[in-house]
Amino acid sequence: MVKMPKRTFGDDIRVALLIIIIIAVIYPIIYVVSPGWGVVLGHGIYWVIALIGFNLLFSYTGLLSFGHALFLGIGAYTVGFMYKYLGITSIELHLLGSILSSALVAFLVGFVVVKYTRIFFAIFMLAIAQIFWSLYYKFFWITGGTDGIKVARFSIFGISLENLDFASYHHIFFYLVTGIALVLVYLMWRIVNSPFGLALKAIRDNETRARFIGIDVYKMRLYAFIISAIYASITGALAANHHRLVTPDIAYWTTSGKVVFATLLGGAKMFIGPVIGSFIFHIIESFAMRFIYWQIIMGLLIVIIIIVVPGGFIQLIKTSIEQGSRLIRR
Amino acid sequence: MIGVEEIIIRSYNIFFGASILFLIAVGLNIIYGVMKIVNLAHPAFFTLGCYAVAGLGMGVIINVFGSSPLAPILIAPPLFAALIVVIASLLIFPLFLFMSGKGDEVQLLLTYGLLLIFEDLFRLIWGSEPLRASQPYELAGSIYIGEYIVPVYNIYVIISALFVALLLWFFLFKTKQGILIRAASMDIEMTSALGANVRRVLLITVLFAAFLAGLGGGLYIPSGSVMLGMSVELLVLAFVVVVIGGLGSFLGSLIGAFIVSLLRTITLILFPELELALIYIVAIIILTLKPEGLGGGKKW
Amino acid sequence: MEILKLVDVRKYFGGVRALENITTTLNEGELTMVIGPNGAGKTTLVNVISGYILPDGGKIIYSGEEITRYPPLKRIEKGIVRSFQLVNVFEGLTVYENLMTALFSRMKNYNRMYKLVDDYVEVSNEAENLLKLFGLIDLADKNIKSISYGDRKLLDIAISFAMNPKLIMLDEPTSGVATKDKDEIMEKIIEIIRKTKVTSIIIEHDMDIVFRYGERIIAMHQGKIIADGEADEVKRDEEVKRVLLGGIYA
Repeated sequence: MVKMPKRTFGDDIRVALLIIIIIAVIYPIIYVVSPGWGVVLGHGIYWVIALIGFNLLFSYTGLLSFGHALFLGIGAYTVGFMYKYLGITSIELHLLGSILSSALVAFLVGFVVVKYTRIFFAIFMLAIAQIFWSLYYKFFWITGGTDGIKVARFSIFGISLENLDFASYHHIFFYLVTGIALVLVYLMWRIVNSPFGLALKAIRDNETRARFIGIDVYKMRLYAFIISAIYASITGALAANHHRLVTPDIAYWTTSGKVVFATLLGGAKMFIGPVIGSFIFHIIESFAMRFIYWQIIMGLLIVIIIIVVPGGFIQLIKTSIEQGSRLIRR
Repeated sequence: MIGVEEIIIRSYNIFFGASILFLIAVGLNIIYGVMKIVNLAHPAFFTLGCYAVAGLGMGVIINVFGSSPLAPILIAPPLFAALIVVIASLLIFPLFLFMSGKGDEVQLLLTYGLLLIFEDLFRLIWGSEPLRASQPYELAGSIYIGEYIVPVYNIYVIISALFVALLLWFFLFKTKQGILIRAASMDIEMTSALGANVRRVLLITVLFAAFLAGLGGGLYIPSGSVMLGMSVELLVLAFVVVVIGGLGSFLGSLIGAFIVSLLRTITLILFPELELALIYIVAIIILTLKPEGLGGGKKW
Repeated sequence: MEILKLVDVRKYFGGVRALENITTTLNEGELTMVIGPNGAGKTTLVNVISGYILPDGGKIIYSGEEITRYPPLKRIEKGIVRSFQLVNVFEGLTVYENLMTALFSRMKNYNRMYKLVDDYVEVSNEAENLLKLFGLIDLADKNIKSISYGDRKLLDIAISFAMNPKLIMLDEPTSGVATKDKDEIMEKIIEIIRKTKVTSIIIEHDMDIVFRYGERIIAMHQGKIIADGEADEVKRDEEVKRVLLGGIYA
């Protein structure tokens, strides 16, 4: 029986999950050596979620958005508001809240935006993200403005974590996030390999033909948009709990840039690209933060990647493996 | 009751804003119209113009000319800014060559990367504090209309923008080179088949757009300040100008600039926090009713 | 049995009369070739029947139902399927995936997210059968970019067939194909049409092919139908000979 094309390692769910599991395994060792790096690994894991969501839109549906920070912001501020105005620390409710709020916003925004593609979509998303950012900034009496909203430690299964030492608290957070990431990555893989995913790819490749075989292009794009938004928002909610501070920065255009950059870095064309990209990005960011003009490096790297190695890190690996095996054969 | 004077003042502000937006939007439109390249970093050229004057040129100009003769102090900064920006555009011209003919994604990502680089470069060279260069503005003085004070400098900006618009119109519609560029914007293959050197057309276009953006920056800065994050704010505004006016349309740049400036002035009086949101809502409405924009351009 | 009826269909583009006085009736299972010089209105005719553009006047009646202003999607649901002159397939997918997409779409399953594509065994079997029918089974796993133009054309038509058409319209199915392959591909298409007994309209320029396979021919010129009937009749029609055939068949 004919099956779907044999998946290369780049699209293999086991590789994706394995990468995350390996990180989770080495985390305790890393943390003991340097808690700072342990925290970086934490960033890496929950950002995987947002990047995988972004890539659903970008590589699988063909929609490039420069405004993904919008939904990271929604997730973060939902947590911020839930804590500040309702006193909620339950991580479960935080996640539920951010899923609902992002789905709603994504529906309203997507409803209008998804009719358009390519240039308009990209810049329009940037503009909308900026609009929201400016709202977070201006309505400071609600959002805390640039000072932001401080968030207490989250509680899990109703159990407060206030009295733990920082290390234990962080470990619990880390493994919670790992679990969530594993589930969400697996779900995304299923989505991408379902008939829906196939329809998205068809829309990406030939919108007219897709329409002419009866696919509701607009609706499919809207669904993809909403799913992508929910994923980003979950990352935002986790970030809010990780940093315990919600500021407008998370909704600023440079955060959208990080999303795009990290995805490209790992390699957008393969499923595991964003997974790898998240870790490489955060490791580089940690080093480069000392060099405070790190945005220049990020911009330069984007330019270089686009021109020289558009397939990102995975392409680099593939090429090196090919070169390597060629050398070995000699 | 809104008096005549207040209307004059508001209109004055609207025209001033429109002049600045026009100078940015028309460059974006030219590059897209002719070379089908969308350059997200274009507003960074404008910002560069502002920084060039505020962080470098104005000091030199004052030293050279002293602070009394008005004319050189009005004219030198915009020209200086334009020069700097043109040089910058020459430096990154190879990127434009690379982008020409490539898909939207490539252009969007590349120019987005440029935007990131520019913004941090500004921070690297000129720091994070806003900069000013208000000497021409102050020297030009102000006049009274009723109880309102109107800065003369802004009148100069409006006139300059009109002058530039007229020159541009003349160039694009009445000269051989201009007609060639407009032909190229309609069909670049045909134009090259007719013997025009596509590379040269691209170069002229990029330099032109850079010149206009730099000029705009140099004109604007005495009346305000330049700070980080301005490029993206301008991009968001320039984009809506182009959406309303129509992508690739010269007339659209004028119409769009005027409408956006009008909307901004109105919303700034009524609901300052929602300024950008309201402008975009209007843009969506216009887009839904007339997808090519009001000036007639490419459909989105 | 009548399946498609066009009554005085008209379409203008500005001052150009793309379609004028188009009146004809097609019967179920009939294979109709539409011929005519460039600009005669053949593609416009297909566009109007498929809903790609709406006519400025006249009626289109399909299986007794007036579909004149129906959107394309609705017509597809009723079994009116068309292919395009230029190959129009899904570039980033494999041959197999192309067909699966079409099949899922036909079954209205394309928005399902909870099962993997591999789990749909029946759909997969149907895709396999179609691939065998079109002789593309060996290319199933190949990416579109690596197969020949002729095979891409066949895939294009296979996608149309995956929609379970009752009326299929093919716009120059062998255009762009290397001359030596044209016959083979056309043979294949005709064979499938005869096997599935689907009503078909084929726009074709190659007169050899037209007269070899056409049962019924509609000849168009400047937006009007100048001849409409059995192949032999049309062949002998004076105006058709003058306009289309030049000296060879005169």
